Amino acid sequence: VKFRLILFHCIVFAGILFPAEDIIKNRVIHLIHGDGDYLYHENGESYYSDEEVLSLALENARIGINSEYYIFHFRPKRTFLIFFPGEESDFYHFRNGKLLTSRKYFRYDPIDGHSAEWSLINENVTSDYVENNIILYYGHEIPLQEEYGYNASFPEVPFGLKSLTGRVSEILDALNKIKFDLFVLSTCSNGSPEFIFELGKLAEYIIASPGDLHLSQMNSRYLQRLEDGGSILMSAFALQFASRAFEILRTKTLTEIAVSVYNTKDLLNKYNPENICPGNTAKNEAVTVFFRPSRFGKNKDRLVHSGWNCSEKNILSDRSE
Amino acid sequence: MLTLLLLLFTAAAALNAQDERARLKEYLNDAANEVSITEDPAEKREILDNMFHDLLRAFDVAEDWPLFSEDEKGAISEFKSKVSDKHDELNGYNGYERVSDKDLNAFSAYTVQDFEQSAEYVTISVVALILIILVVALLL
Repeated sequence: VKFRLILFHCIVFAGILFPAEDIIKNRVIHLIHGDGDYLYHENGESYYSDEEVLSLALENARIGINSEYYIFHFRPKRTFLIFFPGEESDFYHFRNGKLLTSRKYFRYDPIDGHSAEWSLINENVTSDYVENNIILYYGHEIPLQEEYGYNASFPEVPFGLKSLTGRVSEILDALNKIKFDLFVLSTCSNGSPEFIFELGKLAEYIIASPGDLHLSQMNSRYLQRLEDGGSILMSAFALQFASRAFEILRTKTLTEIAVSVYNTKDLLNKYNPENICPGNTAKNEAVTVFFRPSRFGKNKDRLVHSGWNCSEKNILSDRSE
Repeated sequence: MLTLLLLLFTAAAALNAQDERARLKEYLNDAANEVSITEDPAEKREILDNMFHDLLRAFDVAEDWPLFSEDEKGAISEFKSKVSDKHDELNGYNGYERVSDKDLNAFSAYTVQDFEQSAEYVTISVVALILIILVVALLL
């Protein structure tokens, strides 16, 4: 009886010290680019891609009782009283389904030499062990080389693969992690060898499109399955996420859809970006592609896709020379 | 004189670049909506054919615009080629199988989706896009 009483008190005491709601199994980072032209139409109605993506991200975060969400919405520059710059972007932080922080910030205002995202995560992150770390980027195709004009209201700020990996590395640093378990890159055409091998240094699995991607983007609703309990096998989760996103795109669109899942460990260990195109040697084991040809157009009879974007503009100039 | 007028309009419109970008998408979407509510296939085909013709004429003007760099002209040509392909497919030219009457609604929806998501639309310069929109507006 004494033992049971002690055990009971231990459980109660542990419950006070470590309330169940504080357990975080998953950490999800959303980077949503909205500083550009994201208007699209569906059945005649107008939608803004970034707003739709944000809305679903917030829904996922509210449902995420076992998760922590950091959501960054990169919005166009704004001013007040004509001349004074105002904080343009939005940041949301949820833990266990509760909104803890919602504020505006300057995304191009480094603090102590770090990116704004690093600072915002660093202010809020706890040292909990988290099983699954997932990052998602939503936006237009990211240039391989740094280019001006990606941000409509900050055209003077260059953006490209190097800027992206720099920002993601900073986020990993703030989380005290070396790699993400999954990187969802919901952009057009970034499923190229150069891109995937570089991002593969920062994530175990990558989901990306090797072709044009409809602006309704890769649907993130499958993230809600993270709350089901039990352990997640990330290889299976990535395939399911990509499969669901593909199916939703398939029902909404008539254009070509290609969504690839890259196992970066296999890729980086066994291949070089140079030997992927045009032989597609990595197709079998390290890449899974979900593909549907367009209903019309030159490629409407295409049956298969390698899962890679092998166009010349996606090869770094020092390689193509 | 027309060149000067277009230059002034383009400069003024560039001040509100995002709205101007949206205008071309709205123009395409309006045409697709018109196709979907029209019953006669010949009329549907005419709406689409006219839209492609207007766009191709606007791209011709943009391609000849003296102030654009070679890179910009290249982007305009790529976009024009996309429009030209759609026009050919609608009519069954240049090796394309003609879009059947029953598929015209789907083809117009596909055209909107393909333009809205295309890399060419995203990368084309705002000034070029505005010029194209202005020429299309003048043709209407």
